[in-house]
Amino acid sequence: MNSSPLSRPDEASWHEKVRRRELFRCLDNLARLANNVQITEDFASKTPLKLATLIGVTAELLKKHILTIAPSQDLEQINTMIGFITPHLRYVERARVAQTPWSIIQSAEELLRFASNSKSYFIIRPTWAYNYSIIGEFVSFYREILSCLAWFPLDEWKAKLELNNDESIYCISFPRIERDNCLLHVNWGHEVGHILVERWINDYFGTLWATNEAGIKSRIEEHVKQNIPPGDPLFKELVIQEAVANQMRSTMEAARHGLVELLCDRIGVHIFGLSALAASMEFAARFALDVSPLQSSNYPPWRYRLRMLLQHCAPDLNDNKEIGYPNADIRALIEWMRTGQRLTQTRIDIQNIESNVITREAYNFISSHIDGAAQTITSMLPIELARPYRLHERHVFISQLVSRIRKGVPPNEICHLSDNPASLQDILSAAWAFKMNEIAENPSWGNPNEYDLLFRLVLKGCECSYVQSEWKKRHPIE
Amino acid sequence: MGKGFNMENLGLVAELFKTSSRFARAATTLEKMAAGKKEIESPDQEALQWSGNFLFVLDWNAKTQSSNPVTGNFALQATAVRPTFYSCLFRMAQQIRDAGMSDEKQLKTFLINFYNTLLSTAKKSSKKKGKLNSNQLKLGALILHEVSKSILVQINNNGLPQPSATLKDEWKPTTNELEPTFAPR
Repeated sequence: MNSSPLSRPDEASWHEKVRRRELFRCLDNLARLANNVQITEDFASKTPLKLATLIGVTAELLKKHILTIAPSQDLEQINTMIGFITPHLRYVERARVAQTPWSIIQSAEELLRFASNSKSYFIIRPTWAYNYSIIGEFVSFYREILSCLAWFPLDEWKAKLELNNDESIYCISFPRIERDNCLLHVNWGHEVGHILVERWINDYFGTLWATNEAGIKSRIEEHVKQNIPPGDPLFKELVIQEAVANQMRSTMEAARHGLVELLCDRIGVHIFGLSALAASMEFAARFALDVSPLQSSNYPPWRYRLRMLLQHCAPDLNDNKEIGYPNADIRALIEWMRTGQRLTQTRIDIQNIESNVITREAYNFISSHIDGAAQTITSMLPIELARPYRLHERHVFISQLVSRIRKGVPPNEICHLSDNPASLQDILSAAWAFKMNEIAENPSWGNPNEYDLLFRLVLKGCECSYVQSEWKKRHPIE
Repeated sequence: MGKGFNMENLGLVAELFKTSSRFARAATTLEKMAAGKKEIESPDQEALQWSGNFLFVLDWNAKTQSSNPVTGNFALQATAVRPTFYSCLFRMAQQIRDAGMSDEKQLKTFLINFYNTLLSTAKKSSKKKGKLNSNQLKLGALILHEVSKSILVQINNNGLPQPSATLKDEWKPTTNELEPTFAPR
């Protein structure tokens, strides 16, 4: 038996042979899985099928060329691509009707598409993890990575997809355990903010970073030199540079991620008003409020986020006796929000940020640029959403919707048979006002039946309002 | 929203994938040149050109020698990849010594010559290989391969599950986050 080690060329040849054979088999399987899921499943919208087609066409074309055209040095990259795109099929599978709060899907997708001012398609699917998230954009991601393969027939790929250039696909996830809790789904406003914020990041963040980089680097370098790490004499200066480079990357990541999250919060609260703040407060209450971004995957501390949300909502938190605001149906919600204001007077989150050079630099960067960024991003919203949603401007209508919930009637329209379907924002504001009212009057409110009734009424309200709006569009009153 | 509310950053992954892919292509081209190949195809030339320009931004010692202004996205990409680049150099200490370099000054000079060679090779035919000999071209190719693979491992975790529930280090407010990256010789 020959036990001598394989030479480098022999090892490369072994790799190539196995990779080519096995990747072909995997691509064949992936293409078939993507096709099967389109035939066998039932979805609330056509978007999951579009993603399945994207996956299927990509796998099919890679498979077609992998045995003959793909050079050996591309096989490792193709393997990485398969690793990326195969798990995307789970978004399709999980978007089945039985898995989603289907009655809110269409109205939510319409609002998300409208707010993102795009031809975006949204898959809405549950996840067992307790969080809301958005992943995407899929079409451009596939196009970008496939363009690295010089031999890949991109034109054929585009033609088979039958997607226009500006069409895009995102997947929004919500916690499975909260499927019916539509009050919390206000968080989708934050998620759609990601689409707008991503545009701003692509257009501006790099330039801002390049402008600020030298100053940040010099302060970090000074800090690093206070405690120079030991190293190989061959790399004496490079060791310092590596340490600075590591901290610069951490700073950039903390700055970018922090800015993105805070801006998305801003978009969410701009679209949904106090409901978005209420959802964030309820969510934040489950976790520690002052955890450093360095210990929480670069997310800003909850207290910091709530403080910024509350600042945006300030006009809705003040009494206005002239207009009778807040009225009795809303007062409990406002009082609850005011507790949030007291919560954010403590500044431990800021002390934590200040005490570390990475977060200090990152949040100085954020503070310098967030207002300008928020202004630019808000201006990307369609004209109908240009003004922030303010509860004090809607409180009379909200009060009527709260009354409907109290009577066990879905809050789908302002007044009965009024030809005036309530907006998703109004319905969710009413739902939050109702919930906080009930809790204020009876702190033990909230048994499963009471929650179930509230959720079902609100979901039905969303569905009816959507149907009514669509009917109005198709049959305008002359 | 808790730790979530996140956007899985496919854009960043795509950027890193492209960077890795371009470095891999440039490395393969250099290997072919070192083996005597004369003609360079257009996509390979682009990869060499891009790699040369990017390395001038990536390597702080070389940055001052480049006359090209650094655009925003290039600066971001460089910030993301720079620690990987330095780590790769540290891991290749033996190969660097084997190539006859014994101090940092020689290494810096080699690297700058290497970047210039990438740019000049991209512009001219491969008959003029810049200032590097065949062995040095191979070393350059090795560095690019190493960085390319390291970036790929960063985004695909080498096929292993992404650690989702591992314990994190305690956060220390006064530290400058430094850990020795390797034991001194």
